[in-house]
Amino acid sequence: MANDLIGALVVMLGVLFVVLTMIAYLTYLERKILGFMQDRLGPMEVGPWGLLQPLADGIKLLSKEDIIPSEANRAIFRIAPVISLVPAILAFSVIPFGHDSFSILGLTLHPYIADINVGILLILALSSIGAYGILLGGWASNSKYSILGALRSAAQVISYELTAGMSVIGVLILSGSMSLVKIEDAQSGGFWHWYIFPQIVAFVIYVISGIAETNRTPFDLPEAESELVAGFFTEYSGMRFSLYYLAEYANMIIVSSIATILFLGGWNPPLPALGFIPPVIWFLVKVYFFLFFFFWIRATLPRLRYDQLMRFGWKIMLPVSFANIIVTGIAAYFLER
Amino acid sequence: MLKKFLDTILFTEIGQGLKLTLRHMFMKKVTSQYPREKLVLADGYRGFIAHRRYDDGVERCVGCDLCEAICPAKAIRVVSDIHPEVPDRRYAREYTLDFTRCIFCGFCVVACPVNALSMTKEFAHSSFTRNGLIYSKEQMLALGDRAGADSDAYLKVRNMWEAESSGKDEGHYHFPPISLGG
Repeated sequence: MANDLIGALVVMLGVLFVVLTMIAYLTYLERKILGFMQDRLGPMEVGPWGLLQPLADGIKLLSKEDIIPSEANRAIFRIAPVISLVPAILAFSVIPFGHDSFSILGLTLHPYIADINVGILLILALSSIGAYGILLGGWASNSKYSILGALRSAAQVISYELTAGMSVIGVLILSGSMSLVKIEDAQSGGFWHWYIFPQIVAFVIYVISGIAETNRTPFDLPEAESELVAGFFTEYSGMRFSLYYLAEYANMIIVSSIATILFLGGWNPPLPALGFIPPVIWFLVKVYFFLFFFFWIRATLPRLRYDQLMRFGWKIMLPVSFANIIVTGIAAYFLER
Repeated sequence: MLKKFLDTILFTEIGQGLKLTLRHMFMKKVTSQYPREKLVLADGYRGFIAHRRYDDGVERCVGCDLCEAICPAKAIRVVSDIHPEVPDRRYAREYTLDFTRCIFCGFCVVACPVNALSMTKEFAHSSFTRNGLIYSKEQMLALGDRAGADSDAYLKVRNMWEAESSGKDEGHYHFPPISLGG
């Protein structure tokens, strides 16, 4: 019993460490990929090929002055970035990144922190809480740019969370479980079992609303630089600013992981013969494919107009995702007979 | 109609854009890592302005004030005087060029009747004070001594351009090897 507890703690610390390192290096990766796509080199000065840039950024952000605007609501201003970051990190607790439990030094380590039977619901709930951090931060800053960014963000996240949730339902119908581990197990045995093929519509909808939920280009209206300076975190500086930043990248990893688990079979290798490569590697490869896709989209597409964003979300994405649920439900009902 | 519908649901245009950005990712980069990797400047590059000397080391400037007169930024100040040692020869007793005002247009080089001024390829001069960028004649002579080849090349290229545009054999820059006394 005590061993189980220590094992779980080790996994938690490991996941936290890996996730925070991944977030730090995602910023590097994004700048590098964006630079390369724009015929530039990206960061090159700190360390070989700029590899120590995230470290330098971290030191810089930690040592910056923490400015609180005089008219701001101080308590909420302080707590809002934390409200944004904590759910984003918390969501990693139900992400399974491997298959078999393994034991080191007599401790049994599971490839996930928790396998609860409502895993996907928990993640959707946590990502909704993250929106409160943005909304409160924007409101507490007492600045016109912040409040506009926060309002846009609230409207956008609510609209697109709906479609993201709807697109997930098709997968839930097919797998018959909300546990992420069981969803992955249901897709084992080759890429033709992956849910991307029967659920291609849901996959496209999920990726689009995932980009929108994480407030990234082309849906980055909440932090539209050209109109709103930096949107909801205009007034933030130093470490609080970087907490928002970390939350954004943590959300990106979460969205990529969920897309991997639901549609690309998670840790399952594409061919059963490729099973000798550890499941963790397969999981990371797929997650990084999605993260690369995020950067790729950012380098390619311009920002949407606000009414286009809303029209697209409510008039196109939502009806299509409803249709997908109905078709999937009918097909699953008749095929199971 | 069907094609338009298919293009919409298959994201054809976004796919084209994604293809373009992906292709650029593998193209040659245009960035040059400046302090470690310097570009070759053309001979006509208009960098910091230098004073030139004759071959025997006597300064060319005769203090005629033409550069001061033509300077559109009023960056040049000349105080001319009779040369203390050589009779019948004038020189610039004081000559300052304020590089904080200079716009590097090259008019002074064109105006100079004795080719005493030329532009070099030096551009990375910086200073913590404004006075540090107001150059005296001695500093500009030192610059000319340091970058003499560049200043010759600049005048030759100017000569070539002028000859091409006027149709004559050569432009108005001459390089008399003689000295004017001293």
